[in-house]
Amino acid sequence: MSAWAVAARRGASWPVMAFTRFKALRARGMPLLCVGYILLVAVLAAFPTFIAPDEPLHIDLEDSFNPPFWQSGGDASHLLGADRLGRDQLSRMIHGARISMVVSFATVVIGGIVGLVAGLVSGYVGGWIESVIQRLVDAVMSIPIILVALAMVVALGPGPTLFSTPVNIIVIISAFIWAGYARVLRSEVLSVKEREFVLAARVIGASTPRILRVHIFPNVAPILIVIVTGTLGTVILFEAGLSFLGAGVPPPNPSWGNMVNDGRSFIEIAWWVSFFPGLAILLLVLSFNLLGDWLRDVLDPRLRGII
Amino acid sequence: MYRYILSRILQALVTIVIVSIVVFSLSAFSGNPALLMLGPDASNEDIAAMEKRLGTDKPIPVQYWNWAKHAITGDLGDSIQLKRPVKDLIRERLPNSLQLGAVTFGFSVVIALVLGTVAGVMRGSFVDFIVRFFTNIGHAAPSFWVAIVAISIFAVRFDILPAAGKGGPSTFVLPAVTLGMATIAGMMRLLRSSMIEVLASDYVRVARAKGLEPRVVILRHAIRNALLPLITVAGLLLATIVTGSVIAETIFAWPGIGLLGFRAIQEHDFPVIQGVVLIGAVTIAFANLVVDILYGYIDPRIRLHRSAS
Repeated sequence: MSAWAVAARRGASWPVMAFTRFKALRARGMPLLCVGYILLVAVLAAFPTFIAPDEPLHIDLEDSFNPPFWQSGGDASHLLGADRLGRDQLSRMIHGARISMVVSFATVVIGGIVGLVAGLVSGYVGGWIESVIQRLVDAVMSIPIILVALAMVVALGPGPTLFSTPVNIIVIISAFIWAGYARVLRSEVLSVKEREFVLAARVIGASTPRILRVHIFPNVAPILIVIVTGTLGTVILFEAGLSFLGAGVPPPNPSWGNMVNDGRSFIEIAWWVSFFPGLAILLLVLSFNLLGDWLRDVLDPRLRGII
Repeated sequence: MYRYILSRILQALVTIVIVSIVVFSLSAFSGNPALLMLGPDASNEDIAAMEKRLGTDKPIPVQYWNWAKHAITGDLGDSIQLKRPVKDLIRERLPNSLQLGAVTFGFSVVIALVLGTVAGVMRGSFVDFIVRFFTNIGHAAPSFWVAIVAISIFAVRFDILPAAGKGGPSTFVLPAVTLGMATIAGMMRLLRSSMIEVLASDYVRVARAKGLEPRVVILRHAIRNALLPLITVAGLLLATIVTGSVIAETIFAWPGIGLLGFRAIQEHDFPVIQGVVLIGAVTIAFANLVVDILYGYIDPRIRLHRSAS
């Protein structure tokens, strides 16, 4: 008998019932739900031109601030309403999905590689290299990131684009994200390198690169996967924040962050312009975070509460 | 203990020097400051004269040395746009940011302390479910979006809270909630999990076995130990507040250094940007130093371990 049925038999009140039901659902369904939403956004990001009902830059001033279809005055031509210039919100959101996805994956891959190398070297080799890397990590982690990144993006400009995403934004976010990975990996390497199999490998004369590759890396890989998944959401929020402050994808091209900013001044007359892109960000970050938690519990339960 | 404190102070100083190099190199990205000040119509002689006056005709390391020498004494140069010393601009606005930060940190700690503890003690309950729900939302929601939604509800629809500016206590509510959201979520989550861990420990079992009231066990035995992990991340949480203040102050037109920095970035006013970033970084580095020393004081295992390594 399920927990829900037990609660129902006991005659529990409805919030408790809903809660029990939710708990049962969460255990099985939550990771699936998260993966589902992430895949949906990924598909939208991959093929926006085939899916979006309208051109993202198509201006039609007659449709300015058309509400979503369920409100009076709204119709099916703009399912989620239109912005000030009459551009279709849904189409802009579908095209903006790409920015969030590309930025998050590209930065964690680049930052992950740099952080992995820095963590492995500073943890295993030690000495002055370790001191240098650790002071660098401390410095990066005490920089007010948004301000510096904002200043860099404004000074350098968006630069060339990769899958319609400005490369400079990817590079700048990567330059900050690696430090956290390096810190966690270093402490992990410190404990792995004391284990017997590493000592044995050294005794039989294995080279340092080989020990790092064959013995240390496989043992810190799960933790790397966990922290990388856990930071995908952070990166998305960070990029959205930069876009919101005007340092992301240059207008008129849409990103979820700059769409929220577009609607900011018109919140009294057109709530939907800011609301839906923000909700899309929230759901994507939530999905990545919950998936990260689930991965952590599966791969390495020791990390519960640490990350 | 002295050795430990000394090594931590030294590390913090190195950190600040590295940060200052990053901060200084920001101006290298900005293009020629003399050109920015004189405008596009300036003649080559004028530009050369201005470069000489600003010192930007010298090699980069010399420029850094001159800049750092002045920065240590608090002289961060003059704003290009406002034509006033950066020091004065920061001094005028820093109290506003500090007030907002202090209010945010204070109420974040109170909320997280109460709810995190309750959720940890009543694990699996309805209250726990609500706390975890808000923790997840707090981690995932973009703060600028929450701010806009909050403005549209509380300032526009119901008109019970002001939408922007700094004034009486009511003006603090929305900026502090926006700024504190992620901090509260982080602290609640940490406190909940460390509470669960502590409650499963032997000394709590002993306290219960000898017949102490549950209230005494939780308040006297469990909570103190559950708070330890919170101290380690306090510096990180403060960094979140310092960084987040740029977004919160921009949205709510809060006259602090976050807004000052944001405006300076839009106007390419690099002396101001450098000053604001430096103040922020020094604050964070100092907070981390205090946290580490405090932690070494509270928990001897840490200081022995770290000074040995």
